[in-house]
Amino acid sequence: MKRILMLAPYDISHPVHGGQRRVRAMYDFLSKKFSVDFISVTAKAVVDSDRRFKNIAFGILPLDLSVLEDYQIMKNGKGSNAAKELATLIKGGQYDCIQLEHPWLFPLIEDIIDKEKVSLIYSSHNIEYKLKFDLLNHYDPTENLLEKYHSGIAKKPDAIQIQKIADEIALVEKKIVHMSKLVLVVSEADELSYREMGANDILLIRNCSGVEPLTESLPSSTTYLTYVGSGHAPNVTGFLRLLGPHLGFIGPKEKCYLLGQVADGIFMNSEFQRYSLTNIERIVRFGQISDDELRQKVAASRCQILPILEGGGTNLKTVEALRSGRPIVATKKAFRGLGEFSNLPEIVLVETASEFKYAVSQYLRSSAVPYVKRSEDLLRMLTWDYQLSQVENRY
Amino acid sequence: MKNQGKIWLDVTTSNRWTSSFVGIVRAEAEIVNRFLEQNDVSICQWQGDAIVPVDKVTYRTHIQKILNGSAASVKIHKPNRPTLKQKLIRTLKFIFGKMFVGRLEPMKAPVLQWARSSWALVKSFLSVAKSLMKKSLASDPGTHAQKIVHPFVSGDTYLTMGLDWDDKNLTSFLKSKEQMGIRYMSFCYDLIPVNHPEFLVPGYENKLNRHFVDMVWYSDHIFCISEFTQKELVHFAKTECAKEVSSSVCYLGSFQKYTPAVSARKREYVPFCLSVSTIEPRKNHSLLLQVWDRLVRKHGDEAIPELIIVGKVGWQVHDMMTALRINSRLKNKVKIQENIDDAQLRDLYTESLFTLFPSYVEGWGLPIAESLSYGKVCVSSSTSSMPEVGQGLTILLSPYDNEGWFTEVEKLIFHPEYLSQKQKTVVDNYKEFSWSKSADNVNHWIRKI
Repeated sequence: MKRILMLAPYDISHPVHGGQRRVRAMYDFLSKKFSVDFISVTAKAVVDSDRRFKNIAFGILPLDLSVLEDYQIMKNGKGSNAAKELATLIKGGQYDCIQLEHPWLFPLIEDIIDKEKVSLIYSSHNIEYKLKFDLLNHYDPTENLLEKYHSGIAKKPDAIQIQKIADEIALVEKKIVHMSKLVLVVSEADELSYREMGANDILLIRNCSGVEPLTESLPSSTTYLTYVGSGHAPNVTGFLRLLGPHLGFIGPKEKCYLLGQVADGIFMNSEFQRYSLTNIERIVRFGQISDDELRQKVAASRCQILPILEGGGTNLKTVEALRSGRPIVATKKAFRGLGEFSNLPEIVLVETASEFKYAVSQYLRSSAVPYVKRSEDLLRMLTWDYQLSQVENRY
Repeated sequence: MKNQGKIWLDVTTSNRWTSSFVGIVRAEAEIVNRFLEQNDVSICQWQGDAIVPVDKVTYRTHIQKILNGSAASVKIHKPNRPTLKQKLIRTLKFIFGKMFVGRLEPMKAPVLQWARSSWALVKSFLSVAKSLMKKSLASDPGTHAQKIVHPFVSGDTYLTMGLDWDDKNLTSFLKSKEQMGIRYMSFCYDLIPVNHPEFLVPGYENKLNRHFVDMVWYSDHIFCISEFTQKELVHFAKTECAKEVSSSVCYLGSFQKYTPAVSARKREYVPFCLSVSTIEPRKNHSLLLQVWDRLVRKHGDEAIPELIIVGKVGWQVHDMMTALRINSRLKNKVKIQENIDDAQLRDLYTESLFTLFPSYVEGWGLPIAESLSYGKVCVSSSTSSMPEVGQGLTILLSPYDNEGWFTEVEKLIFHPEYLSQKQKTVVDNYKEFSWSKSADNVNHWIRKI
């Protein structure tokens, strides 16, 4: 039986954001076929980790923006204590293959790969150097109250520094691609980029939903829209730029349900707080809730929103929204890598803030749209079983 | 639907006001005053979390006192005796000023900035903590309206036209508007807090944003004080609230049309130009100071009339006031008069050469109308509602065009025939804005909708 080590910059015991859910789905799938170990290397130790998953705490990092934590691990990874600990765990030919999630941990294992003659599979989630470049250019740390708290006076890198960071990441990504026997990608666009970087063997594994949605809509005494998202910074900025900064377009009898950690990010945003008198009474925060509760909330909503302005790869949130049977108001960006699904019924794609608000208000102020049945053949493609069935013979 | 119930006019703002009326307070008092004779009209005001009826006779006495100048003059002419706290601050300022004059000044701005940003951060955290402590409504959040005691019955109409974002719990009250079966009408004076937050009194943005959003969502009809304001409101409602609103234009009144006044002059006459408005960055007084500085430098102190600025010293003008104080060319040429009553203001309009109003943006521009009603030429900004108030009789210039203002003012001062010809056009053509017309307009819409 093949022995695989999956290496990721986050724990997957309780998957919340899209990356965690993708890696966890892969782990669950591969564990059925192979002997799979999972190790995460994170800045701070994970406290409630599942016993199956090992965690290494990287330790003290330079004081920097929270969005640069992964980059700092990459930059300081070589020769670090975490790298030494990893080397001890990997040495002795224990593994046939290492599957690396994201590029951040590569410097920690670069020497080991050579030394142990272990093969490398790069599991990409997006083109990280492009993503970081966009993220840093659009990110305003002064808007984030937590950022101020963590970093003291949060300082955004200037244009030259941003370019330098992006170049460093690009260099690591290129190195990984050249050393990998297989690159897993999430979209056709990413596939093209990796081919340009020199990757030979590339396999497209789309992001999928692991949550089975309800197949009916539910009644509700409250008229509301839902936004499901993790605390990832672009989820917050997208929401505030397209629906905010004040939520005056939501009527006194309407609500916006925030599901997931995106709620905390939005509440911690100074732009949101600037209009707190208008905003707070229009929002209902649910934070982390069970999958079952999430399904119920979504099924009774008037529409789901995907206010995505930045990011690469494909959005797991979009896939889940597609399968939920509720109307969707989204940006074109939210459907990147899922273009063939954007013409399905009750999907409104808009670009500007006023268009977004208008489209959402139409769903809030007209009678509830019944369960939207979208093409089952197409949607079957967006299940992990379907997608991962292609990968098992490649290890 | 024709109104069958009573009409309730909210007088909270003007009934609490004790000094001379300004802007919104005047509008509320002048319009309500013209409704008091109507039998189906009652007046009310907020008292804590309750709306209570107000006796019409008592209210009329109160506002007449202020309109006639007696209440105001009592306040104005009484010398302000400093409190113990003020005395202490003054003493400390004096001592530290002597000790550190010049040494601490360079540190002042960064220290103040640091203090302000730290305080803003603390406030944000407190606000976040407060909102996070609010329990998430896991079942049905609904809308939780606070119970407000009020005198209204189903079919009544409630009109507010005061400082609605202050001292009123309107949001809580209006949440139950539908259940109560009442109609709500409001006044929109401008959208400056939304479109130009940089000119706002610091800390008011949050409050005012909620005010406008509530106005859009709860008003059955909104009176806008100019076409410009109406356009801005409709745009805000459409793009920010995704909602259509019912609105109409209701111009505000002004002083009565010019009649040659009996001179009330009590001092030796020194020629002057007049600018009336609160001293705050939006009103762009710094442009006037630059123009006057150049005029004095070019023509000499004797040749240039004084500039009298009538208005309270407001916010964020500390640097400008310091510049005025230390500029030897201006300190005796530019005079600021705070807290003057209507009678004194009328005298100033009557005796002025011409008036100036270089504001960046307005919802209306009352000093322009006042100037024209006294037959005085007004040089005003060409932006927002100001051309509308000017009826084509004002000299319009961009508030960013310092050179243009200098040239025009110089011409008005040194070419008396040009000024007289402009002034004649004003006197012959100005059509007054009257408070009676404003009240008739409100009356029309209340009974029409």
